[in-house]
Amino acid sequence: MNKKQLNFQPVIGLEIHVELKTKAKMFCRCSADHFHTPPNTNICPVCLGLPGAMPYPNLKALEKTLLIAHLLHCRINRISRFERKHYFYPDLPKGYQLTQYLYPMGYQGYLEVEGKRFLIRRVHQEEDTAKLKHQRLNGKLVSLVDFNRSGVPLVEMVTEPVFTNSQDVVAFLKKLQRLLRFYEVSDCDMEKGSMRLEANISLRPEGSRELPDYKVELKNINSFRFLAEAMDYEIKRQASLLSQGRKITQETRGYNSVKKFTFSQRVKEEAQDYHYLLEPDIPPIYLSDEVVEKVKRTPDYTQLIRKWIRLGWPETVVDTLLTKISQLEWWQELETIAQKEALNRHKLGHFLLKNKSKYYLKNISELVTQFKEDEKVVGNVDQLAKVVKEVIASNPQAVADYQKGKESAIYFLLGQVRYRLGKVDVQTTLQQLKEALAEKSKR
Amino acid sequence: MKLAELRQLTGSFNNWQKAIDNKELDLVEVAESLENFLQLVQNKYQAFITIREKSKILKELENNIEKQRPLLGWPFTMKDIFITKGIRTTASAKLLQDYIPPYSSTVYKRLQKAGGTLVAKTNCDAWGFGASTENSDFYPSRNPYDPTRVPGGSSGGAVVAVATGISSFDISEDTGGSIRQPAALSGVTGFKPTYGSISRYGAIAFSSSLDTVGVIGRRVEDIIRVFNLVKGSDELDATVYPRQKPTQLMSPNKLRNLTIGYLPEIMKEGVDGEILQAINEVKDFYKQELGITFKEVQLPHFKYGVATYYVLAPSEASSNLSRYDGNRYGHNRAAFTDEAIRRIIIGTFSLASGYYDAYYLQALQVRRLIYEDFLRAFNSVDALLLPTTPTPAFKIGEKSSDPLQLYLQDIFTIPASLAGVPGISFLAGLSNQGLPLGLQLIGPHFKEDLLVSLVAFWQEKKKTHLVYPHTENE
Repeated sequence: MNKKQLNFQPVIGLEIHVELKTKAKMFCRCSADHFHTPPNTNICPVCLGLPGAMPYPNLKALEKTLLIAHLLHCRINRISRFERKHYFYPDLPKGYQLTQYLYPMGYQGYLEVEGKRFLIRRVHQEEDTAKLKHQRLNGKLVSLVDFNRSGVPLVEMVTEPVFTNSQDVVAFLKKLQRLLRFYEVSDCDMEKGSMRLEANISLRPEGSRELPDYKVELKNINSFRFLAEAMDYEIKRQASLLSQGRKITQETRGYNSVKKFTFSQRVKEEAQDYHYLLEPDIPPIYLSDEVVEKVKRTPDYTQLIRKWIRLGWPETVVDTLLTKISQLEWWQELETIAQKEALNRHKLGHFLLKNKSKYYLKNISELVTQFKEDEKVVGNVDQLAKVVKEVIASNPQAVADYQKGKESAIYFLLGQVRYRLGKVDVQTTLQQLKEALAEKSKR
Repeated sequence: MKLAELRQLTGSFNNWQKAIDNKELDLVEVAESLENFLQLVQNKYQAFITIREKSKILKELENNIEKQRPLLGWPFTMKDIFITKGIRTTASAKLLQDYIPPYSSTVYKRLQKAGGTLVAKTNCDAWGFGASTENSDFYPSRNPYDPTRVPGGSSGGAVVAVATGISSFDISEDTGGSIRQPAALSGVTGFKPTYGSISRYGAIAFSSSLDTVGVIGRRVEDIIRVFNLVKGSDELDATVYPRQKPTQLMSPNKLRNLTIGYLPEIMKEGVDGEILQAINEVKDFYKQELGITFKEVQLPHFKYGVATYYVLAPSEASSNLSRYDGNRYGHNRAAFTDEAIRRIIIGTFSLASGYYDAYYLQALQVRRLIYEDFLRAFNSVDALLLPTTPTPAFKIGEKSSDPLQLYLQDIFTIPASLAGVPGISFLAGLSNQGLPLGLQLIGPHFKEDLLVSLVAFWQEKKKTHLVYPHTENE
C-alpha cells in the first residue's frame, strides 16, 4: 500500500430508507403490500396521482415513524407537516414526492453500537415511488411502471458524517436492522428493497476537522457485505487519486459485486432544486400527548435482552431467537413454567435453539416434556461435568493436539465421554468440553 | 316547453317540487327542452364543454324522481374541473381534452346520491386561470346580457347556464373570485363558503390552499339546500372541517340591529359610478328595512391582495400542474397554453431556492396579515359589504392582451379567498346599459347563515333572483 494513503481519514455518512410495515399506503387506503402482487392491482386515483385526487395521511404510519425516531433517541417535532419535493421521473406520478423537509419527525438523535455513539441527523416520513421495470416486450425494449409501490410509507434516516470505517458502518446497520425488525416497524429486507442503503463517502487529511469539499454517493447496493466492500474500494480509490493531487468528481457510484469495483452512475455537480412547497392538502398534524406517551413507554431493546440474560437464558439463544417484540409473550410464558418447574434455563435455552423449528413459538408444554425426556437420557449436569473432567485428564495427547489447533481432536474426547456415559447430548457435551479445555489452557 | 316554462322549474326548487307533486311534469318533455335549450345556449354563448345525451338525462330524471331523493332530479351543471366518472373532464384545457376519468369527485357523488341530474359540464378558463373565460382552450363563453362581452371567469360557462335558466345551479370553484366575479358580471348569485366546507376531492387542483368549492344559483334558499347536501367531512379530503352544522336562513328579526362594515378606502379609485350607486342603494335598503348600522372599517393590507395572490396561486399551480408531465393523458406539455405557461413560470420562479424567501415566503406572511385584518374587522362588524368587481362586464378582447388588467378584475374578491372567509355575490340591479351590477357580502369563517339570510331578505323584497337576460328564440 502506498504510504501516502495512510494520511487520509474517511468521512462517511449514511442515508437509510425503510418501508414501513403498515396495512395501508401512506396517503390512501390501498394495501401497502406490493411484493408478489400482480402489477397495478393495489392502486387508486391518489397513488396514481390522477387529476383531482388528494392525499389523506395514514396516522398509523406516522406513529411507526415516531417510534423509530424514539428508538434513535431523537428530539421529536410534535407538529407534522408535509412538503412537496418536485422532480420529474416516470415513477413519480404527481411530479412531486410528499416528504417531511422542514419538520422531520425526529432530529438530533443517536444510536449506540458496541459502546460507540453514532449521531443521527434526522428521521422523517415520506412516500415510496412506483417501480420501473425495464424489459423486452414483444421484441421491443420498454419501461413498465408498477404503481403498487407508489405511496407505500417510507422512512428516511440520515446520520451525521460520523463514520470513519466500513466495520463501524456495518455494525451500525446491523443494529439498526435488528431494532427495526424487533419492533416490527419494517421487514428491512434488502433483497426486496424494504431497506435501502446509501453511503456518502469522502476523505480528508488525517487530523483535519473540516468536511471535505466533495462527496461520493454509493447507491443501489443491497447487502451489508457489498456495501462494506464498496466503501473499502472507494477509500482506496479516492486515496490514490488524492495522493496524485487529483480532484475527485462529485457523483453517484454503484458497485459491481462480481468484479469488485465501484463505477460512476451519475455525476452530480450541483445540488438539485426541489422547489419545496408545504403541502396545502394536508393540514398540520399534532401528535397527541397520548400517542407520544405511548411511544415513550416502549420497552428499551437492550434492557429487554439483558433481562432475559439475567434470568439465566444463554445470550446466544436470546440473541438468535428473540427477534420480535411480539414474541415476548411466549417467552414470558416459558419463563413462568421454567420457574415453576425449576428448569435449567441454560440447558433449556440451548435445547430450544437446537430444535427451534419444532418448538419455538409453539406449544410450550410439548417443548418442556421433550426437554425433560432428553435430560433423562443425557443425565444430570454434574455427572457430565465430572466425566468431561476425567476424560480430559486421562487423554493428555488429544488435549495437547487440540490446543495446538487440531480442532478435530475434540471429537476424540467426545467419543470418550460417550463411551463412558452411553447416549449424550452432543451440543452440550461439546460445549462443556470446549469450556473445560479453555479453562485448562488458561492455567 | 318554452324557455320561460323551463325557467320556472329551474329558477326555484319549490316550483320543481310542486310540479312533481301535482304530476304536472312530463319528464320526456323536460329532457327534450333541456336538450334544445342547452344547444341554443351553447350556440349563442358557448357555455359548455360537454352536453350529456338526452337519453341519459331522461334516464336519470326518471330514476331520481322515483326514489324520492332530496333533489328529485333537479337538473344542474358542473364546472368542467370536477371529475365525473365516465364523463369527459377537461378543466377546459386541451391537455385533458380526451380525458375520461375512472372515478368521481366527492361533490358529484353526493349530488348523484341526492338525486341531482347532471346535464352539462360548463366551460371555464383553462385550469381556472382567468377572469373572463377567454382563456378557455376551447372557446370563450359570452355574457348572456351582451354576447359581445365576457361573462366573467373563470366559471363563465357556469353563470351563463344559470343566468339563462338552463341549469338550476352549477357546482363551481372559487380560487380568487372565480364564482363571485362571473356571478356579478352575469347577474346571478355566487356563493363561496368558508375554505374547507366542501370536499375538494376530485376537483382538478389550481391553488389548493385557496380552491373553494361553492354554488352558483339564483335563490339563496336553493343554494343552501344544495350546500347542505354536499358539505361536510370527507375521508378523502383532510382539509374539510369536520364539525359543520347545516346552514339555515335566519328570520329577519335576527338580522335587525346588525352592523355591516364598508370600505370607502378601497373604493376611492377605479370603481364604476353605477356600482358605487348600487352600494349606496343596498346600504339604504338594509338601514331602512332592518335598522342595520353601517360602519366604516379599515383593512390596511387589502390592497396587497392581488400581488400576494399572484405569487401564491401560481406557486401552488406550478406544483399542481407538474403531474401533466407528458407521460399520460395523451398530450404532452406543448398542449399548455399561454396563461398556464405564464403561471407555471411565475410559480416555479417564486419557489426556487434563492427566491423563495423574497417571493413565496413573503407572500405567505402578507397573507397572514390580510387574514388578521379580516379577523380584526369582524370584531367590530358582523359582515362586510363591497363591490364584487370594479366594473360591469367588459368587452371580449378588451383586456386579453394585458394580463395585469385582467388580474385586477379580482381586486375585491381575492382578499376573502386569501383569508378563507365566506363571501356571496348577488345581483343588486342592472346598469343603464342593461348590464348586471353585482355586490358581495363577506362574513367571518363559518358564518354563512348570516350572509345568505341578508341576501335572502334582499331577494324577498327586490326579486332580483327573477331577473333573466332576454334570450332569442324563446
